[in-house]
Amino acid sequence: MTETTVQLSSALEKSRLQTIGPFLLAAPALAVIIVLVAIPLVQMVDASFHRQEYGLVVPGFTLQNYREVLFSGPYLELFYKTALIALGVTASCICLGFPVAIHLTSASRDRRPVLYFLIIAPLLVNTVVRSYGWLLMLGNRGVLNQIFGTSGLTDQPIALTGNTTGVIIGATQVFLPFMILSLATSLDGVDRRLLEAAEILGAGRVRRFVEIIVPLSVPGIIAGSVLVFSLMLGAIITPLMLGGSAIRFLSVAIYTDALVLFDLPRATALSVVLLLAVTALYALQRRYLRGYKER
Amino acid sequence: MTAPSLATRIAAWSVYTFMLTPLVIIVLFSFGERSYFEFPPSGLSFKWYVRAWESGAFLMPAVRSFTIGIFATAISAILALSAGMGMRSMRSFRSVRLLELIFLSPLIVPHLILGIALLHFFNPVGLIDTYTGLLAAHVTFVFPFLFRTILVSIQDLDPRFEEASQLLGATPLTTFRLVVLPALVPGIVAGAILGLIVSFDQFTVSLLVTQREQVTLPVAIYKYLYDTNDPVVAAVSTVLVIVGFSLTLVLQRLGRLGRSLPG
Repeated sequence: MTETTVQLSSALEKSRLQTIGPFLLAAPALAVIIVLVAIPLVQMVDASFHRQEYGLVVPGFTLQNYREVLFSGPYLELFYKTALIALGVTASCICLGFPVAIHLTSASRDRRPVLYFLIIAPLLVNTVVRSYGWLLMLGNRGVLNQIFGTSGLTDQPIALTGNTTGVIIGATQVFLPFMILSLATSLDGVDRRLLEAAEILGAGRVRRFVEIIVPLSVPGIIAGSVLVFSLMLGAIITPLMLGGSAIRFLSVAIYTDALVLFDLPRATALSVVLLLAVTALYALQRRYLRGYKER
Repeated sequence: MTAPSLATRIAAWSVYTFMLTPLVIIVLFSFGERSYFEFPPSGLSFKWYVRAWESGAFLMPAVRSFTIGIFATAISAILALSAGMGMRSMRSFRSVRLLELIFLSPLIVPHLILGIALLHFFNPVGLIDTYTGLLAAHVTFVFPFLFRTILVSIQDLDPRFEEASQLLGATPLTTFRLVVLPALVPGIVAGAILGLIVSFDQFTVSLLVTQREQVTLPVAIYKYLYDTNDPVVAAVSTVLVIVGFSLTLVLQRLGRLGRSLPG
């Protein structure tokens, strides 16, 4: 073999290593995601096409679970109520988030970290703990009912937990930081000169808010809403602790089916519906935001 | 932006209060004498803290939460580092995009669904309620966070430093150890902090893949609350509130808060 062919073949070998090497480096992570995420999810989807007997998944393809979940009255009502609760949480996050986002973005440089601390610190406290705090606040013998009781406003405790009200209040506090942060990001990008110009031209505060701030923060509202709405759809602790089994909520139903009733096929069918809903939401948001940027 | 109106300021401060109230209530409750909430408190006592310690229901779960967080983060960091370096030298742009999509995909899957899927997957192989199973479960949702931050710092690497190192005769491994790795440390640290927080905060998946033996701290709190609802939970929760707040302070000091938090 001449020297050139030796060089050529070693160069060839090197380039082959250069194409394979990177994939070898990515292989372990890929294997982990395939084994621990992809395969379990596929198996889960598979289980939703089977029946169960005494808590065990039995062989035999069936669409029964989907038929039950998608076309029966009680489940349609479950989806409707779930969407309503998640919408309620999203709406109250927008309402409570806007004043804070405006306050945050107009604060001086020295004060901003303090205000951000107030928003982010609760985020780093476990959701179980935060929901427990609401249980102490809203329970039948909780702080609010004691205040109402001693002040003579009510003679019987108002039921603020074990129902939708409690879930919406608790979940709003749990997810509000996400909404505030995405609104604040949008508001930070609003050109101050627009507001000044509007003020000089005689637009009042309300008009400036409605005609400048709100339209310009639409991407933030959308991003925050999709995030809060989908996080709420997948949330389990707050609905379980503040709503209990009394409320009709998809994630609670999945949890009950899987761990209390041992009806895994139905739990997985419901999970597939939930997963599709959340993925569709993210896809829609991506498309919308892309369109928004191009404008 | 022009200074906010009085109405905005009042609304904003009401919301800040709303955010903090449940946490303040927990702290007050944990120092109370009685096992029900009374306002104003009639006395100061540490007995619930003593009982929380003596009950022994929380120490092991706390240690477990901590070690699971550390191990899951370390494993994820190694996987992410290797994958990121590999993806950097891939020629095909499409496979890079595809891999990125795959590696970030666990972020979209709601934790409840991940938990149900893992429950169904672990059950036949006997991994339910084991430390290994719990650790594997935590790697799945910690990994994307490490991957995202590490990939960003890998993309920021200046290839000229590596070329210089190779020209000076360093082997690829030496170059990686002495040139590449030090440049990636800030990204790895940021990702690791995030990974630890995500792992420590996780409730749903941990609840689904454990039963009694291998519960984590949040699950232990939830189960205790379910069985015996007394201020012992408030005492443990107060500790978590303090940890969360101190961590936020530290993170703000590090100045990474804006970049490393989702949303």
